[in-house]
Amino acid sequence: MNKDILVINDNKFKSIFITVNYIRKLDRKEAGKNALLASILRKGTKNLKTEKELELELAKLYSSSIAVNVEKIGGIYKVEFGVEFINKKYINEDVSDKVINILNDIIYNPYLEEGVFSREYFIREKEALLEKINQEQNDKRKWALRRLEEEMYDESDYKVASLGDADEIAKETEKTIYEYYKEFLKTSEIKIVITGNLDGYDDLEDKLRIKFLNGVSNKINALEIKNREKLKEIKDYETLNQSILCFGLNVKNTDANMIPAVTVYNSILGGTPASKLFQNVREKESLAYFAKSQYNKYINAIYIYSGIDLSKKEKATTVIKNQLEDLKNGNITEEELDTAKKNIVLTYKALSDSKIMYNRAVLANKYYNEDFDINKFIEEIEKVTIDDIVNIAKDIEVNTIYLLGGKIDE
Amino acid sequence: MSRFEVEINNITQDKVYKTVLKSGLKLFICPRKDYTKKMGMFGTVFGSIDNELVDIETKERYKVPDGIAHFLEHKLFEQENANALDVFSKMGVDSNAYTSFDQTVYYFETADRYEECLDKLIDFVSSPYFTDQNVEKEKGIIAQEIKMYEDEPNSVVYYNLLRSMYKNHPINIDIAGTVETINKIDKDILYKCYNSYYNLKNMFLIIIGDVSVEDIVDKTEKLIQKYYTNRKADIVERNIIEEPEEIKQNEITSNLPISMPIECIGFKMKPISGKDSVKTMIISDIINDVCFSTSSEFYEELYNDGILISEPEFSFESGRNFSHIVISSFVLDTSKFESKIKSYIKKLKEQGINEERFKIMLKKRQGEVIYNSEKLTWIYRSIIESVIQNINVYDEVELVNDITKEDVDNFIKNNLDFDKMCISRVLPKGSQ
Repeated sequence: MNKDILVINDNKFKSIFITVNYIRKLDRKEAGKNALLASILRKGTKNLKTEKELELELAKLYSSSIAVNVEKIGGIYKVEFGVEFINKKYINEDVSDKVINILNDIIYNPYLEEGVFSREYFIREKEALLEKINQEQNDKRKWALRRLEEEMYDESDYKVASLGDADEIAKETEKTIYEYYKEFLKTSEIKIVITGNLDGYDDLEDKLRIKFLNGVSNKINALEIKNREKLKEIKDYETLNQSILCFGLNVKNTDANMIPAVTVYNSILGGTPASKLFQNVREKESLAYFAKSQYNKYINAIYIYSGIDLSKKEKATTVIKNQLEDLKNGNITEEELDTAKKNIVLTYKALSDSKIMYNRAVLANKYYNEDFDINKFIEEIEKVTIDDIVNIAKDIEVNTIYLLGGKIDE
Repeated sequence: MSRFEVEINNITQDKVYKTVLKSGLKLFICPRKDYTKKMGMFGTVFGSIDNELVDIETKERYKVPDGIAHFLEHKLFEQENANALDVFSKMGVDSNAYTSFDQTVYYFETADRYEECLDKLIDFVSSPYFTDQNVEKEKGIIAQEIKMYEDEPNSVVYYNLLRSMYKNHPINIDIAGTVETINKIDKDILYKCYNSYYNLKNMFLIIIGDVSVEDIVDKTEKLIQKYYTNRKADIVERNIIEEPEEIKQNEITSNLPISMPIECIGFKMKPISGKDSVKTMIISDIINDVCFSTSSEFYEELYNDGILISEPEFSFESGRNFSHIVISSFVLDTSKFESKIKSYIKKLKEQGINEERFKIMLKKRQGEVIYNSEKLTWIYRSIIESVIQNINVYDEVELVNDITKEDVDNFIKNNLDFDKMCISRVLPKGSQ
């Protein structure tokens, strides 16, 4: 993405959402530093020293909000400083400058003691982050997918969780993280995306450019992601009422031109209620309530997940494998193809109804493909044929099979 | 046609058109220019708390198995050789359905085919197709859904709380029922429930998106004539719920294989309904913002003490014959959290809330009203709430400016009664 600022003006909204994205190369050891830094910065600034003061100030500005989120997107790691505020038209007050100044302080003027981050803040944020990493195990579906990913990418830095690696976080001090902060400001690639109702905000883009770009033009290289060659089967025993069976599929053909075909492949496999997984695992065999697949084009992988009874594991595995075989053998109807396309088109078209989702989708897509355009992508989806699916199916392999579960009375 | 009542959001100028069709169906249309998605919701005021059937024909009353409304929701989206999710999916349309305590709603989301969708939606909901075989098949699927919820700590901690607060009120049963109760369901009882609760006088239809109002009314009238000829429509008679003011038990604890405890603290209240419930909702949002959010001293202290890592949520819930407050949170140290909450509420009752904070949070609520109006899901939820509570869609927008600090202080004094407090915890396995 060459452009530093993307602006999407849409008058149907009543508010504005801006993200200032700090982008880094994905690095297992660095992920936790970013997550820790993000939460320390959000805790207080030079002028608003505590989270409480910060929140009160934002509430006064008609519930403006500032959030710092971290996420890995393929081979990059993103720290997103996001602000949301209401267009002056609806509140007779322009809060934009005030909110943007607070954001500026969060990034550049953190609360410091003796020239580094406050030790008290640091210790508490570090503990809280470690606790949040631990808490991820509470949601079993997410946790199963997280474990699948960890196993599937056990030889790559991609295996790291978005919140980072607990062992690495444990090593940090307020001084090391402050040193890292200086490095972070100097070396990150910065991309700004604005979505919402920009009526009456002609100078917003310039203001943001001056405040947040200020001549910075770093370029980082995304991490090249490799996964294991050999098939691996993993089980984690936990006493659950329902077991979660996951498959990690590797798309071996990584040519970006294949993305539309793989997108359609995934939709036919498990993207909709008309998909093969939903129809067979759930409707025909009554094995599960959910049976889905999701495609991550930034890592060339498809994850399948389904909640089943442990005693039905073999049966469910067979049914899932049969669906993959069907796709390879071209057992695909024109109706399935058409359904998949229509659902993908709806998903992409509807993105523009949410300024937040649209903002994030634009950043990720444009980052990896400068020319990305939703309408162009929809056209490419429309062109995919059954032959294209069969061709790409040959390059899609099961890489990891993961099971989380057991039985309460086991 | 000018038989609409128009409701206007006085801050954003958004409009909702509402009317009752000849058939008794309540119709709501909310035009949203330039939105891609068009949504349609067809629902009935029938949920898990309707556990006693009053037959529309015979007026006979009898108990129905727990989870029947939810089971019916699964089955109605099915016809002979056709499943609605599948049919909509083939049209490139998102669809789904849900059941709550007091409603069952079927919906679609489309970009460009809403007329066909509306036809299909009414077609499916108006044509029950239950066979011994398809009812049996659904039991396997719903059993997995129930098991999924049994592993979700948020769900377990919440339903446990309701079970401890209520002795008789059917809000104390799980929406989906249990594996045991759903096994008692057969096609006959499904038809009986369907005939009584899915009559048009008990139903509502909502359309949201870039659509023309007049157009929809004509089309809907025609579709209703097509699918609902010779159907009986009558106001539904409901179960009589007798619930004492006292709670059933003070506390309940479950263990699950999780890593962090989760807790819900409930305060049972006298049932509130109509506009009073809207007002109470705003009051409780203000209490949440002033007293429990990240901008509060309470949160700051508990965060710094390592008791919390994320803000608790203070919310008011109400429906037919029930009202309560729930404070829910992930908690690192449950016993410290509980004692802190108790002393804090005691202090709030004595001293009231901070005046300046109250003013700030009132301003925040005015902002929230505008953000909410951007979200299509928020709009349809307020419309459904207006049907169930018999209020106006934008009552919240009107009432938000009328709330005073005294209202908030009085609410705390009168409703956060320790004798009516219940604690529900879900702890990691192996801890006590």
